[in-house]
Amino acid sequence: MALVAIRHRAGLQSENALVSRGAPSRAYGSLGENASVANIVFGVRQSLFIELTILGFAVLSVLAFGLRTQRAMVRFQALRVLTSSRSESLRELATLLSPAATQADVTGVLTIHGARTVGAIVSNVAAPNGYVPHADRGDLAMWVSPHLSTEEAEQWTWLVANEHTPMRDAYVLGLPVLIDSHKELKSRYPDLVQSAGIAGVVASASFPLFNSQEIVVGVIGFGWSDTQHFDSDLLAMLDTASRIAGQALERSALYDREQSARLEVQAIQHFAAELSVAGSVQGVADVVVRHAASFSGADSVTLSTRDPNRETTTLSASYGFRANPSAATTTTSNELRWRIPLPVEAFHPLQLVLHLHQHSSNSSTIPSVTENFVARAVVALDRERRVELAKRSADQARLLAEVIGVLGSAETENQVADGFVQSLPSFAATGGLLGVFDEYQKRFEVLQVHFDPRSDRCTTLPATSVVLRRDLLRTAMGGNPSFTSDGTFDRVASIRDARVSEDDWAFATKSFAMLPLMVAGRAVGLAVMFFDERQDFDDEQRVELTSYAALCANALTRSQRFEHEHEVAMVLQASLLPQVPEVIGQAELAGRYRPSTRNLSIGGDWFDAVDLGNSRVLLVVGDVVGHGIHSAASMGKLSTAARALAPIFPEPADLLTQLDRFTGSDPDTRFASVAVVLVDLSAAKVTASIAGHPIPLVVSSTGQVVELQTGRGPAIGAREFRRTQCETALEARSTIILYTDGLTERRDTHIDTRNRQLTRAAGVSFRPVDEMADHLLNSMLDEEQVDDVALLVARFDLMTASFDQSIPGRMTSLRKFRCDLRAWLRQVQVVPEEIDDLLLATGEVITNSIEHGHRNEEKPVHIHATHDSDSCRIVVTDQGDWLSTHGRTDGSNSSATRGRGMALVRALMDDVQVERRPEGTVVTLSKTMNQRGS
Amino acid sequence: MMQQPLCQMETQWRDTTAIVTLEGEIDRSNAGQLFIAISMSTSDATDIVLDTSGLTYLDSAALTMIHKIADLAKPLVIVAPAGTRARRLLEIAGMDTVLRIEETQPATRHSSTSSIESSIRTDGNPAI
Repeated sequence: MALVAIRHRAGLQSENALVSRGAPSRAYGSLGENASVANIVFGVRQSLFIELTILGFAVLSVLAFGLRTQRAMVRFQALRVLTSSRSESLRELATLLSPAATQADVTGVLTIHGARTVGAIVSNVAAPNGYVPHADRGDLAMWVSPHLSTEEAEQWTWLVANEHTPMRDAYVLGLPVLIDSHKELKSRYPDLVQSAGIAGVVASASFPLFNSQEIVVGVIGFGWSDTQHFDSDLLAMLDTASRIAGQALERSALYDREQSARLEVQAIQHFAAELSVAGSVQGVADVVVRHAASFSGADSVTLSTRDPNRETTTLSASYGFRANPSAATTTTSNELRWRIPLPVEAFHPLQLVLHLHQHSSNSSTIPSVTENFVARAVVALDRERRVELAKRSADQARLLAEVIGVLGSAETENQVADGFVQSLPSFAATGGLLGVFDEYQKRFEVLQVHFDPRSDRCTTLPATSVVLRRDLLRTAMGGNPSFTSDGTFDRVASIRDARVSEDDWAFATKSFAMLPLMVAGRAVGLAVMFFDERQDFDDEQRVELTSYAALCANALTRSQRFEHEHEVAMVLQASLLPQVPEVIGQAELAGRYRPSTRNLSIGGDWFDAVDLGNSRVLLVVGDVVGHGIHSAASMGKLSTAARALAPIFPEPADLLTQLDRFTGSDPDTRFASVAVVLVDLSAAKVTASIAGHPIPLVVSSTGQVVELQTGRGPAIGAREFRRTQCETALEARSTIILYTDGLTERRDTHIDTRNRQLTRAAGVSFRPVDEMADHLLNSMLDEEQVDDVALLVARFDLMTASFDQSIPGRMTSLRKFRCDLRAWLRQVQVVPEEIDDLLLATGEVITNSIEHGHRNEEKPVHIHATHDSDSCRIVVTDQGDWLSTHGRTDGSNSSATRGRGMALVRALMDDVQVERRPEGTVVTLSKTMNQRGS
Repeated sequence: MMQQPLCQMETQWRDTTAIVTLEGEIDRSNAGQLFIAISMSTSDATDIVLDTSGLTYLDSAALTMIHKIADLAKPLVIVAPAGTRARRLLEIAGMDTVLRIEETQPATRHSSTSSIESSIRTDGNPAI
């Protein structure tokens, strides 16, 4: 305030406008020997002295007027009075300062050597510096003499603007401040008496430092340990020393500026290099933010976009060393903030926000992010954004193409729904659901609900737990799509699933599109897409979504028709497949039909077994060409014809010939392959003929698998072909396997390999026909089954009835075994009471075998049972020794259970034989049948 | 596939009499488990009635189990009507002479206050 006043008045009084701080010094320069100037200046704080100063300035200014050109001469006069020793030390100071490049170098030399030059004990230097806190209010950085103690030095780190010290005043006024004695100090700067005492300073001189434009660039203060008189000689010396120092400081400032310009160029180059390899929008944003922070010196830097809703999305942010990250996110009054717009077209408004905290801000150093920097950042962001957008749209296009393919081949409603949810990313949707209305538009069923995994919550939800809002459904039935830019999930549906909170779903949705799936003016379904980014739904997007909905609607109706047809065909097929009994006379039968899993269309495969009486059974397996309802219908006709013709034409060749004629007269019947096998149990012979069909297999009771001898010919429908047949003997307990080519044909495997697989599977072990049929299907077919399969397994006991089974040596096998033996005993018509006794006796023997023979080692137990008209014989063979108990099987066991067990067996059976052999124990039970069942 | 339990057991109470009804089959695989289940469920009973009329199969292990129940030192009544498998077996083993065997469940003083106390199934699996 005082300074302004001085300048103002001085300006008024003098033509030589005193706007520069250098002006008073010129006056001083011309009056170098007038020591009273200092005294005038020292009183600046008090109004009295201000007036004096003004007076002094006025005088000085007048005197200085026109003397500018004489300055060199004045300087010469000042130098003239220096003693040679003093000029020597000044020259030394100049020499020391000459290599000092930076501000730090210069101040270093001055604080170390300055005092010695002028005969003082300390020399301190202060100068403006960007790193000084509160530099904006005029605080200076201070470098103190190394002679000062550490505490002293710390106290003088900064030359604070509003504290009155000699150096401060000298800097502000541009005039020297001289303190010649302790008394002087005490009267003018009472606050400093203590610190001066500590430092041992009695007298001091503070000189402003001028640059070549006579602008004050710093201040130097010297201190002496004794009283100084400041004669003209010393003043000239001090003046010269401060001149030398001022010039050195100016030079260092230039050097620093040049240096920082060079650094900035380097930084820009470095920045450009990093930008070029950043590789993504995110990468570029990170580089921009990091460099912006170092360019501007800002405490924190944020790069963010603002969408039309004024919602800010941060792309990248950096927090400086000084800034507290949490504080940086909230704007306080102490904070300064610059927004630098980055005009990148492909983004919503993009801006770089620089934060500075008050304490470190300096109005003279508003963060400067150069145009060069901004331009490069914009170019790089623009480039990466475009690349990303192009990549995204390419991805979307590719995905869409794939999905349209999926929709085109969808055969079920669920496949359409799958295709729909797969398509979501190509519309940038994060979630969606698809459901169907029933025929009467009364019910709506959600088929699929899906949310993008990037939403980081559960992405699958049972479709049944999603309930759409009724009003929305009504709108959808009206057929008009609706687009909601601001709508959360709960406006569409609620979730009835205790495990899922609706909040989990609402979060991701900012906009949604309701797309009724219309076919011929009727809503067949509804698709909803959810977006986690707000959508404006411009015309282009609306057209895109509605045309996609139309695509889905078509796929949906097509799949519904398809499913309907498939359902009809399945029902037809099931109704046309002949019912084959499990047993015909002495034949056990197991038939299997397994539809293809691949194309969901049914085929024309069938199997049949006809009891022709007189111990004759006719086995038929056939396969009508093609798939679908037509094939199923043809199969129905053909299988019915075969069944009807079989009693009249039991010989296979004859039957096939009749079928040839039948298809010839019925244009609807298609080509078919058929295998016919006639089994005559009483004659123990098999007759077979095939029409373009896989050859049936015969498995002997020992597991030998061979192809059945058979007459061969082309598929049914071939005209003018004489069918032949082949007759072979039937071994006891052999199994015949008839099948269609779906069992063995597979695209990726050679048919011979598959046939070998089938042979292996058929010969693995001797099983009941049911198990064998399942075993064959399981070992030959996997999940992916291209064609449908018909299989018929038949086993013939001929007339010798026997039961043969091996069971695992476990107590838990008993139950199943009892079941099987009971079934066989019933089959051979043993009366129920006898069955119970036989089961009990056999069960006891097996229990003994497992417990005492094998000692629970789980070795198999074999049971062979035979039956004739008046007796039953059951032989139980194990691999144990019964050693510990063999001698006591007559009832004298120590074990009550076993004693009771064998006693029961003996009580129930007519004869019990226990025979110990090296390989195991054989128990033979015999029972005479009292009565025969009807 | 869920298999039907081999033997199903149900305990009803009439005052302090436990009426244990067995249905199904008893063999060596489940007799031990059944004995434990029965002795536990009748531990508070003063009298035991064992209704075996619903058993379709029983072997010597079942007889041993019945013996062990008789050894619990509580008055025991076996319900085994003529013509059932249990009756036939008890007779063959001669146990009909040492055990009290009835055609039907005995009538009790306090009628129809029965409640189902426990229902235990044994199907040969370790867990009852």
